Amino acid sequence: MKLRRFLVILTIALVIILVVVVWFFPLNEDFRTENPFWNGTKDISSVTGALPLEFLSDLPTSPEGSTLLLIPYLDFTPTELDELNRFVTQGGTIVLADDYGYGNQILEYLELEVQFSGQVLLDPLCSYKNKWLPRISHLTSNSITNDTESLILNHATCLTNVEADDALALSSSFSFLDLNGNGEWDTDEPTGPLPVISHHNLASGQIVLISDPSIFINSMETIENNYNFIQNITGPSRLLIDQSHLPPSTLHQSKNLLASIRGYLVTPAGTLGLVIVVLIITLMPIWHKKHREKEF
Amino acid sequence: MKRLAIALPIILLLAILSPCFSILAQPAHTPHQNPMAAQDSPDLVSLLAFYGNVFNLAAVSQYQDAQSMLNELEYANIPDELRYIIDRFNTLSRQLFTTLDNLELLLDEASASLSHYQISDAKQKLDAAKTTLNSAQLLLEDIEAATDSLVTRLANFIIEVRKQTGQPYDQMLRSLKQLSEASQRLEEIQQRLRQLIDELDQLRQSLMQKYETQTQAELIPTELSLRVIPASVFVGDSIIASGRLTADTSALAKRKLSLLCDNEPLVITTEPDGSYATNITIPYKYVSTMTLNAVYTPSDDDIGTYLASKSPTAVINTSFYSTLLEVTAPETAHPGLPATISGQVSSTDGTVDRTIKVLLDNTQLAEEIIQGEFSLQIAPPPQISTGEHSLTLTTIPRERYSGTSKSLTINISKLPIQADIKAPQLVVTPKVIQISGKVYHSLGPVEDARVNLTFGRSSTTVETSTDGSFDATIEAPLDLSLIGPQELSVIIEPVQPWYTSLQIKRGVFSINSANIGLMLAAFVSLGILLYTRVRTRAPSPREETGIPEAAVQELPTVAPPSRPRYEFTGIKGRILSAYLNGLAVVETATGISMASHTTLREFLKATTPRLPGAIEAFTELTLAAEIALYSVHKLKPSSAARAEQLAAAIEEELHNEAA
Repeated sequence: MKLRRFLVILTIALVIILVVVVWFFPLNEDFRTENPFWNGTKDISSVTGALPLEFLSDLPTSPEGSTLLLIPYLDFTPTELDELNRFVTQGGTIVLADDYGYGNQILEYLELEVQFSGQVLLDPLCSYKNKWLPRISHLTSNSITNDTESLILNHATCLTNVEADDALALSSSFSFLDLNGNGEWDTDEPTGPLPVISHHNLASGQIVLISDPSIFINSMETIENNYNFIQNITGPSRLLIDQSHLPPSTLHQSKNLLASIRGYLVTPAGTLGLVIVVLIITLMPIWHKKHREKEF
Repeated sequence: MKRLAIALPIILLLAILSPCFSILAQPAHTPHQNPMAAQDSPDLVSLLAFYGNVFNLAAVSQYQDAQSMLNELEYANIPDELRYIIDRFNTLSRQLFTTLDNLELLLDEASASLSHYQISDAKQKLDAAKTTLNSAQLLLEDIEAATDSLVTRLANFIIEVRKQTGQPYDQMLRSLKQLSEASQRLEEIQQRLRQLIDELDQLRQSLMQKYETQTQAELIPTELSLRVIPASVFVGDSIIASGRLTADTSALAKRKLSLLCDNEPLVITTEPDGSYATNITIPYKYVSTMTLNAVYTPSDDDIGTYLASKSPTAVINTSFYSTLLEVTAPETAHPGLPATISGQVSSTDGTVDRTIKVLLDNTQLAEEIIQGEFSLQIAPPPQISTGEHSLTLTTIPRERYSGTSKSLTINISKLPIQADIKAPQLVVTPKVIQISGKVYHSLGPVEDARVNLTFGRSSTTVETSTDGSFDATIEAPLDLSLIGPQELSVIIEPVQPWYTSLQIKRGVFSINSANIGLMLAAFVSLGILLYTRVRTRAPSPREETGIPEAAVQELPTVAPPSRPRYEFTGIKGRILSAYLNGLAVVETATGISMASHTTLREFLKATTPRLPGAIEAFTELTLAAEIALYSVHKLKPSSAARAEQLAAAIEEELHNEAA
């Protein structure tokens, strides 16, 4: 009897502790707007007053004056692609920042020739600290590159099939695409300058392609002129950050579950149910006693 | 138990593997590294390979491309201790490329002069080429020496890095080997550059031979005169250029001459007496002087007979009407909101139509034809960023009237709006709240603005009417709150691009009547429970054992509560029936009633101090009743008989005591 009671109390205590830890422990997933660590995007989302989107169906019905930052690390459903097409053709701006994800799926759907290479861009010479952090200094004069002398990317790729007029930034002439992943330049590997940022008009909207989403993370935005560039991209428009195509972690799923439960509990039905449960638990001993008395 | 043993390992295994599922969904390559924690590892071997590429371009005479590539090193990741030597190396390289570029240009010009029999020009160019060639050779020698020094410094740096970072010895050897290979390749490329310089020297020598051949041949010198009438004209007007081409005092007829007015060529042919005369229209170039030259270059049969000649330079004084531009513009403008720019274009003749262009950061906003004073309405683009921008007004030149432009700095900002919000201070939820307000600016009411209201989890959006007012209803929802201030957030987003957005937060005291009711119900039930428990709480063990017999107070005799009657059958029934009989006697004697929640043993303990004579019998009877009630053992008829005896004994004893 005593052991059973101990186990029940221990289980309840553990569940409460776990719930509290899960609720309050900050997320550490890449690109999440709630993540305050080096790999999150909390800084830009708070500075720009960006709105995180958990579903693409939440995109505004009149997209003019809105900019959607899209980091596509999960694939898109046909409905989502339709939503994106509607958003951009009706006057919205999509900033598609991708390196090794599903950006090409969107580009193909929008019938654009340009593609993300998906191979690692290395620059052993014009770089910040090491070759994985290429320094981009060939920038075309444009409102997006205003007050920007150089940018630092982080494990980036490059764009292919870009028209010369559309390219806004090129890597240095010493950069190269590491096709075989050996970290060294081989004779068959393409060398720079390679396009890394481009700009395309689509109906009344536009799409900006950036071959590295890491430029937006907390630890990268303050390096060199990255901040100016991010500010230029946002401009006076309202920034929306898509969170629905980032791979969720177990912590994130648990937080979502707790948020759903909390969301249900604050509804009238949920609140009523909770009060009933509390009442039942409170009055349970009285009911037990009476039941025992009747038996006696 | 067996099921639990199987289920637990499965759950544990799934828990361990669950993070892998999300990893599988992620991209194949690492998306990033922490730049603050990234290891600083400049690739110095690549630096030499980079110089190889630069010199390769120079070796094929692509000097501009080589210079551009060299400029990229400004952004290279180079350790501070190597920065000076690399900067010097770059400076030398740039000087070499510029020198080689000049050398090729001089040789080209010398070649062209020789082909036109302009031998004095050719001589000047060839002399300059010789000096430049010597500089190039010296620079290349310096670069070769600097390359050796650079390679040595890089090798030392690699060894030093290994000492400091504890890099594996094999890796250091590999880096040194790569450095040596890159150095060899660079030397080979520099050798090709030396070959290029030698080839240019050979070209210079061959041109020199050609020059000497031309000077040794007895060519007849020619003379070309030039006269300009008038010497001073307005731009766009014509002048008459005339002169004569002669060779040893004899006229050269039907020869083609080039007249170069500000280097714009015009070809004419001499008359039979060697003279020429032509009208030349002065181009619309708003400068004070222009130059005119006549050039004779031997062609066809004249080649090998005559030398080329060039007339003295004639200077033409040009006149035009200057234009003055005065501009008055507001210091601040707002996106999409028209602003007035006024001013005056002053020309000599004020009635002439002038075209004026307005540009904001190289984006043309307006183009108007004006006379003298002007006033233009321009609207900065709605998407323009706030801050300082450059406003440029340009007057386009027109015939004799020169153009002019003026630039001003204009600050682009957005206008702050204001709003009066009328919202209740106190709300009782669940209820619909009425919120109204007015959005305005000193320019007037802000119409069609989107007003987003959020209260708790409810939100609604309305638009302002033409007078800037809005009315909204928002439902205050049921939630877990009971009573206290809640935030009402109002975000106003004007459609006019010149206004800023506005956010207002108000505290509204909220009373959640439904939750308070429910909580009251919960507390009341809890109270009832506690009250019942306190009332019927049994005395504590200390109280039971510590009270001496003498201290017992006489309590008023109370009648035992009526109990439901039960039908007792069998042995168990007989024992319980005997217990109830005994119990009734004890209750009467002690004045203590058995409560519904009191156990048999608790009742025994409570009555023990008041049963001195019957205590043993009542204890045995209580035990027998407990056995009958709770034991699984089969009861014997003797137990029932014993219980009945005990009940009778208690009754007798207590009767005697009372008597």
